[in-house]
Amino acid sequence: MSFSEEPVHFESNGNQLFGIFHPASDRNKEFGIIFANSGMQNRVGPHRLYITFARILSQRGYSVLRIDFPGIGESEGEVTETHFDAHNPDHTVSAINFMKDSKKIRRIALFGLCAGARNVIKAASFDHRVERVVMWSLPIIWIPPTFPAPAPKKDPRGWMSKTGAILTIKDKFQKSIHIDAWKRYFSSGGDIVGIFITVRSIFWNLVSNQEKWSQKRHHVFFTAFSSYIKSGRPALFLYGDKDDILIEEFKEKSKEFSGNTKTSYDLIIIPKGNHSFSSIDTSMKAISETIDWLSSWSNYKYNS
Amino acid sequence: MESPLFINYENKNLFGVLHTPENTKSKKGIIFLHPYAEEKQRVDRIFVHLARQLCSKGYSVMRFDFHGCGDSIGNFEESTFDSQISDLRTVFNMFVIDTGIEEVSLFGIRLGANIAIQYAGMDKNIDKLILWSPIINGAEYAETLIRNKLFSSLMDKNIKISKKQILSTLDSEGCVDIDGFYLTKQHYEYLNNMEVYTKSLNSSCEAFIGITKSEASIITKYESFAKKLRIIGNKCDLVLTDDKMYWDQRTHYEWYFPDNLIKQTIDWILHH
Repeated sequence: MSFSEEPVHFESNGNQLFGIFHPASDRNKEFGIIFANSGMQNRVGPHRLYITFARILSQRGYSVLRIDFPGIGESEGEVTETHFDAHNPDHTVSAINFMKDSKKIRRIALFGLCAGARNVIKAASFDHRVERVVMWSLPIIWIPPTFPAPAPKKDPRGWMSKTGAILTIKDKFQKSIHIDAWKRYFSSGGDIVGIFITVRSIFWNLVSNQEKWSQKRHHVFFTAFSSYIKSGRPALFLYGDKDDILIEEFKEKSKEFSGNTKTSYDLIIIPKGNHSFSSIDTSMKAISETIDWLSSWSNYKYNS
Repeated sequence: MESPLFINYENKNLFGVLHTPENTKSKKGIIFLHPYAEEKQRVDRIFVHLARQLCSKGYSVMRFDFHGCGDSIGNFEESTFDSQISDLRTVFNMFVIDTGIEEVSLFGIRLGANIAIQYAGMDKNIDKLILWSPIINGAEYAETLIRNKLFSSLMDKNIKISKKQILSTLDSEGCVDIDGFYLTKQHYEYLNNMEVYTKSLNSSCEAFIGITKSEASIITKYESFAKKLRIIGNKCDLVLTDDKMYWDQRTHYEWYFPDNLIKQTIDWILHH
């Protein structure tokens, strides 16, 4: 079998962005999937997850483009913010243009993990060439463990939802009654001040979701989220069951679509999976479930 | 100019990026060697940043991913010490032929630094070694990997696993999943027996060892390593900076760059 992966460059808002293009193994140009960076990690993804997934998809007849946003990996530009809305969805749209114009791929789907999931649903909300979106570990408000929480002064309205705060209080309370948990905390460099800061920040997050959702970047995200779901285009939300706070936040948010018959989204939960599916068994399960979900794509006709 | 490429040899396709300076009169080049597993992802942009800076000062730079790592073909568990030496030899030859470089140095971080030291012991053509936080004690490093696995299992309420069980799995199944990367029995044994020091190092090979304050507690081990290099005639500078541990997950998400270490490294390269 010949090796066909290709390093590519494309222009986006004045920066040359980098990517690796995997053509479908049978060379069909029907289906293409763009992978967006999961936060600060380059196109390889955490524990080479994006490589594994892209190579399997390529064997299944999908072309894949794994991209680096500005300042990440090989791309030009700088990273100026590190929260999970740091990357502009316009860059994903530039990647769609590249797939359509240079690689002549006819139908496009988007994939992202964590911050990448936030990015792709925003891009898909205003680019109607996107036929479906795959989002793994989509954070609604809660800052996933891999991201540092912003300092309270910078983000005074908190970094998790009320649901997240309640679940966190329960979890921390359960841990606090075990002596081993305290030993682990202090042996890993934790101190009393850290406990005070954590408790204060968790209780701070009990303020209403409505106030947090009014924050500009959350507002932009929720507008895009609603717009995409209401468009009726398919979406897959996939979480690991250890990411329980994200799942609860997603369920709470999705209630607003419960009466809408046009929506076409699915929720898949991977047993034993964590936020980045960092065990090989769970990442392969997540890949397998996603490929099953994508198999209906060829039968789907998007009617805009 | 930056040229991303796949280097094909023996049915392997290694991903690399060749940085070629505008001033092509320069005959100096540096090959970058990445660290192990997820540490590679965390230092990726530091590599890019440093390569661009060195290129702007007239150095050709070659960055590449070992077989089974990064964008290269293969599975992580297929990568061994021997395969990495073989990958480096191929890249070295290609780099020299393609660029006309006459002085080649190696820059490695963590286990990448150890590969650099070992390779320089085998190939007398290496001019300089730039070593960021080489692994002084392979057995301790292997122990850290096992501890990471234990720590991950502590996060899981339903799974309780002991070190003995992990080592038993490693023995019976030949590998164990550590945060998404298979650690093989062969690699575990290699780490346990790994010697940072090599007697066969060419005495004209100069070395820069850069460490951060996170390693200040083991600086005597680095001093001892530097002393051994000096005894066999190698010029060696050991530099401790006040940077944070840049290969750590938290510093990665802060998008942290060890600016002092980068500056001191570039200064050393330019003046040697």
